[in-house]
Parts: sequence; structure tokens; C-alpha cells
Amino acid sequence: MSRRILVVDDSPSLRRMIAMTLKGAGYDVVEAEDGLDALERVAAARFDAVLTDQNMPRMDGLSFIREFKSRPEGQGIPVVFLSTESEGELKDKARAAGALGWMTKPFDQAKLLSVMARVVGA
Amino acid sequence: MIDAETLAIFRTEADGLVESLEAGLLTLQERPGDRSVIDQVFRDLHTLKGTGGMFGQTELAAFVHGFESAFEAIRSGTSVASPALIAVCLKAHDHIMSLLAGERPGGAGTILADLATAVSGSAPADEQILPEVPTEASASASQESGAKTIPMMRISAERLDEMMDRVGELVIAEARLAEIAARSGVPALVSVTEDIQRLASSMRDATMSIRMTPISSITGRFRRLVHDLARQLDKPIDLVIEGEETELDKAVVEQLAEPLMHLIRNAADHGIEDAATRSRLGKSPSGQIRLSARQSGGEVEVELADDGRGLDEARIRAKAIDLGLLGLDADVGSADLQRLILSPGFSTAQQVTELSGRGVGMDVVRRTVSELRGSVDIASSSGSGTRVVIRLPLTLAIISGLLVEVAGERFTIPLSTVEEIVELPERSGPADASSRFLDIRGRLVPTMSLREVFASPPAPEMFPKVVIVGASGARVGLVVDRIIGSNQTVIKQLSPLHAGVSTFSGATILGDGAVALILDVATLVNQSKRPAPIERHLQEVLA
Amino acid sequence: MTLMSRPASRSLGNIDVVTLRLGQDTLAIRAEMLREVLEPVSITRVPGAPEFCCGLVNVRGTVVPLSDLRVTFGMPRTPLGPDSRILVLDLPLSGRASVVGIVADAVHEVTRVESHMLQTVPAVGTRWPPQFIEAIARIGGNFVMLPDIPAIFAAFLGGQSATTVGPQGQGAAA
Repeated sequence: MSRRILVVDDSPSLRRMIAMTLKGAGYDVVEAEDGLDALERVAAARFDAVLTDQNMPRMDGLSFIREFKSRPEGQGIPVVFLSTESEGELKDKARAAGALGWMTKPFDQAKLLSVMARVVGA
Repeated sequence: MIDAETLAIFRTEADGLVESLEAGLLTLQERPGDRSVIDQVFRDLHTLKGTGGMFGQTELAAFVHGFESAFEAIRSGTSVASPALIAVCLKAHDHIMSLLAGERPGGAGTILADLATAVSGSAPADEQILPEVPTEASASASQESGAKTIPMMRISAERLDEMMDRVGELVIAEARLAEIAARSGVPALVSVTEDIQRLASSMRDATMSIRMTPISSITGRFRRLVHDLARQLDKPIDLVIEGEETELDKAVVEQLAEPLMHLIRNAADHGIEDAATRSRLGKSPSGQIRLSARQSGGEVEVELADDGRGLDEARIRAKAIDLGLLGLDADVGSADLQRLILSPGFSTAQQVTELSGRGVGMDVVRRTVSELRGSVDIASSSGSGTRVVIRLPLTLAIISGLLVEVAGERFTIPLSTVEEIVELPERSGPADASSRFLDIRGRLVPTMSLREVFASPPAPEMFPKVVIVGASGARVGLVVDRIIGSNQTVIKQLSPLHAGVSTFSGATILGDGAVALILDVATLVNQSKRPAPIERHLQEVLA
Repeated sequence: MTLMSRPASRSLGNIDVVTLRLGQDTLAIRAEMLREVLEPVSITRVPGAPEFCCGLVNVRGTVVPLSDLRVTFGMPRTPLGPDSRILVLDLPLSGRASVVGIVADAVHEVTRVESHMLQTVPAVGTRWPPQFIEAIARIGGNFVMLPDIPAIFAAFLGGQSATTVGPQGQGAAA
């Protein structure tokens, strides 16, 4: 049975790229365009993992992680924080907020898949 | 790989961001302290950097990174958006535009230095910027966008599976329609039913062909694996791949990857000798692993051969005796001896290396392949190498099935095994079905009551049917209550929890959502040669 | 890329569980394993399968084996009732990600079990096989058993399970 992944990013091209990579590897992917949108998605369905960007309109990644992790549906769901190298202190904040770890942009498809495999199993 | 459509979305998005960036900078010229505009500009830069990097635009990403670092001074309030600073920012914006347009503008360093000077009077310290060589990723991305001769579309595997399921259901409905049409005797209905049957069958073929995937979709990782193994083991190894274009059902291809990785690891680790040994033996110093695939009939043959030392039969014999697979005095031929390494838990590696040889190697290969309804064969000659041949059915996903009912439960029999269907003559009676024989045109065929095999309540229908099935040269008549009809059966594997249940080869989902089991005819035919199948089964599971 | 490894799943810190009734007992299953809870759907009997897993169900187009923990814990098997549910769990089997269903006579709630509420299982003096119990929790004055699901399935796959075999294994299909 395929794993369901939520991809949260305000860039449609990036979302699509990540989604296509994951779908190509057999994952089920749902996209959200920012933190608020993501909160609606996680309330409606259970995910095996969440990938989220930080800089987004309406609600940023950190606030989303904090809110998600304070809800029952956020328990036990691994969150991977997508950051860029210039956001050093954000990574620690993301971890403190409940992210399992981070991934530095840019990453290639192989890296994305290997991270997902480690987070949710192949 | 990035498809053209995604690339197009990135371009549009980037254009939008650059536009928004320019507008923001111009607004800042008028209202230097506007917080929301500063944040907007910063977000635009950040997104540009992130997506640019992801789409292989490393030069763009590096430049925007520098721009963003400089702009951070404005965001954090250590610097104000003075007209001089905005002017440099606009220059930087123009630079981004021409980078996006695919031009190769110079002067990035100067612009960034100017930016840094404008915000704080010092050059950016944190990053080495501007790789001048296009990366592999950006090169392949632009190739992709250029190669638009045949429009291609990507479809998720899940949608394909769903489509296959629908096709299966369509074929089931079509079979019901055909039955009604035949009974009605209305010529117009019969004729339109025939049209629908033809359409459904071509639909099925088309859907199956979409699922066919070339082996090349998994060979990339083998090249990488051999490269890594060669370095790790310090043995020069060449990988030769032939017949990469050979196609198999996508599910088969995907599941084939793991056993092949195993075989490659084994070949590299245990088969191929180090360069010095090979030279001494008069072999070429670098070993060769050859992976070849070809289609023959309804099967695909995948062969993995190495030119290494071959299997050590003496060690296999010793190990087999050790494991109790062979008697001390066993007289076994070479081929049978070699096949023993496919037995569960068999491993002859003298040293357990990091790579392989924890007693799970070949066993896993055999199990995975048999789950794919294929077979494995092995042949080796001492000193010149080992050859493993995997034979697989072209498609895993769908077979034609005969749906039958036994005591209210439904089961599917693979239609390819069905020879004919007859009524059970009343005089033969329901009792002692396992010892009954039917006379089919002068040949005696043993029959088995499926009610008995499945331990169903023994209340026979008035007119049971016998489905005569054949496998490996033998025939058996399966007594069922009712024939529901033929259908296209989408095969689902059974879980490892049911590995001990050999009567079924898989399961399928029927039109009404219920699960029906698929009979393993070869097992049933074997059982028919012995009495009391259930007892035998019990013994197997308990053993 | 830097990624923390997942916390060891077997550690007994605070855990979220879903509680359910099985026979006369209350059990708790780690919520992280739970994919969904289904009303009893059409269950297909697998003739000849061990009683522990003698059924199959269709979960959104996937054929999922249905297991009955009552067999593991030596409880009598009764037909499924109106409160019965099927818990669909994510569980690696033989090292592969798999999905299995287990039957419950009723599903109660998702709740958090704090580490101080947990105690390990005494080796003797319990009517449950200790090797299949991860811990016992006290929730609201009641004892709740946390079955060691991976251990139960691993033991079954290893053929060590005390399940009976044969044609009489029809309870879940009833």
C-alpha cells in the first residue's frame, strides 16, 4: 500500500517537482500551498509523512509544525523541514517544534527519495 | 529528470517572482521603510533561490543567495533602502532576468560586491559564489525542454492500477451482458454486445501495454552498484547490460530490482576474483558481470552471468550435509548440487562479508521470483563463472479467470489451466469424492471436491459442475457448486502471513468489492495424486 | 541533508494509543501503527489458513490479511457484532512494509499513556503470554494490555505461534 505524503510549499513548480518524484516512486502525494492549507489537509486525512517549506504566505512552516504537533493527528507523523543553508538557526527551531529532521535545498530526486525511504520506509 | 510541463511552470513562476521583485524594489524607492514590502521582496528572493536550485539553476541560485544575504541587512534594519542601494538591487534584478532568459551575463561578482558595499561597506563573506560551469542538472533540464517532439505524459502508478482494476470490472460486466444477450436471442442486442466485447478486449490490451516498462528503468542503479562494489572490494569489474529495452509489467520490473541487486552483489563479492588472481589464471584482470534480458513467448528471460570462479561444489556439498539437506553418501549431480544454494538459509560464504553471505542471499532471490510467478535456474562451471537465469511471466497484473462458487464462497481458477467444464454425473454420488474418477472421452480423470478441500459444509448442490484443469501434464477435475463466469482477474499477492497456504496463488477483488481467492492449480493437481488433501495440508503447516 | 534517525519505536516513553475491547479485556495499540478503523466489511475466509489469520478484507483496493489476536491470547472466538471493528495497521512483515487488519470487539478511544502509567509484565502470574505483551498500563483504574504486535506477528511468521490450524478456523468469517 502506498504511503501518503503531504508536501507543503508555496511554489507550485517545486510542489509539482517533489510530487512527481514521490509519485514516480509509488508514494501517494497531497499538496498544500501554505501552512493553513496544510492544517486543513492534515485534519481531513492521515499522512505517513509531511514535507514542509518555511517561507510561505498566511502561515509559515515553523508555525505549521508547532500547530500540527500540538494536535492529536500530528502525533507520530514524521515532519521533514525543507530549508536552505542560510537558515541555520531555523533548523534547530524546526526540530524544537517537532520536525524529525531537515533537508537542505537544493536536493536532487535521489536524495529526496532516500530521505523519504528513511522516514517512512520504502 | 524534470518534465517539460514542470519546467514550464517553473519559468512562469520565476517570471512572476522577478516581476514582483521589481515592483517591490520600485515601491521601496518611494517608501523605504515599508515593512510588508521588504518582507515581500525577501520572500521573492528566497523562493527564487530555493526553486532555482531545485531546477538545476545553480548559477541563479548562488547569485540570488548573495542578493538575499545583502538584502538581509535591510530586513533586519541594520541598513536602509537608500536610493543608491535600490539602484544596485535593480541591477541585480536585471541580472536575474537575464540568467533566467538563459543568457550568460557577466559581472555577477561586481554586482554582489556593489550590493555588499551599499548595505555595509564590506564584501559578502559567507559564500563562494558563481560556479561558471553549468551543472549536469541544468544541462539535462534544458535538454528536456528542447526535446518536445513526442508529447509525453506522466501518469501515477496508482492511476494505472486503478485503470487496470476498472478494465477488469468492465470485462466482468461485459461477460454478464453477453450471457443476457445470448439468452434473449435479440439479434440487435447480440450484435451490440459483440461490439462491446471487442472494445473491452482491446481496452484491456491497451491498458496492459501502458503498464509495460523497459528493464532500463532499473538498470541505472545496477551500474551505480557495480561501480561502488568495484571500489569497495578493490576489484575491477565491468557491467555489461544487454536487452535493456525488454519490457515487463511495471510491477514485475520493480520487484525484480532487489533480487538482481542481490545477484550482482554475490557475483562481485564471491564470484569475481581479484585482479592478481585473475591475471595468474590467464583471465582478463577486470571481471565481467553481464545482465541480459530477452523476451521469448509469454515469458521474459533475465540472465545474470559472471566470469568469476564459479560455485564451489565441494563447499556446497559440505554445507548441504551440514544442514541436513543431503545424506553423507548422497549421489547428486552437478546441476542438482548447484540448485541447492537456492534452498532456504543456504549460504556458503566462508567469511561473512559486509556485502553478502548472511545466509539469506539466494533464498531471497528464489522467494521473490516465485512470488512473481517465475522460476530461477543456476548453472556454474568451476573457474569460468556462474549464470543465473530468471524466467518471468510478461505480466503479473491480470489473468483470465473462471469464477466459481463453492458453498456460497467464490473462488477464481486461472482460465489458462481450464481444459473443459462438465456436469458431474449424478450416479457418481457425493461421497468419497477424492477417490472418484470421471471418464472424459475414454481417459480417467481424478476428481476433487472443492467443498472437501476447503472444509466447507458438505451439502452438495443438485447439479455440481466439474472443472477439468491441467498442470504439468496431469489433469484433475475440480467439483464446484456453480460456474459464475469468466472474468479478467487482477492478481493481488497474498501476505507473508499466508505463505503456508499453498492452495492459493493470490487473491483478487470482485466487482462487488469482495475478495476472492485464486486457486493454485499446480498444487491442487499434486494433491490429487494423494489422498486426504486437508490432512496433508495440516501436516505441512504443523511441520 | 541531515536527518535524525527515528526514535527507537520500542522505547516506553509517553505514547499515544488507541484502546479497544477484545473479549473481556481492554487492549491498547500504538496509534502510530494505526492506519484506519473500518466497520466489519465482507470478510473472505482463507480455507486451510491458521486460525490466527484466516481472513482477507478489501481495504481501498488492497487485499489485506485479517488477524485475530484472540487466538494469540487464548480467548474464545465469537462472531463479529455490531460494535466490532477492523483496525488496519502498518506493520513490517519479514522486513517488508505491510498492512494487516486485526479484529476488535469494540474500539474505544485514542489516548495518551504517560510513562509513569506503564509497567512491564511480570514473567509469571499473568494469564497472558508475557512474550507477547509489551507493557501493562493503568488507565483510569483499569489495567490495559499493550500487546507486542511486531512480536506476535514475528512469532507467527516464525511458526512458533500457538495457533491452531485447520478447517475449523472460521470464526472471523462468521
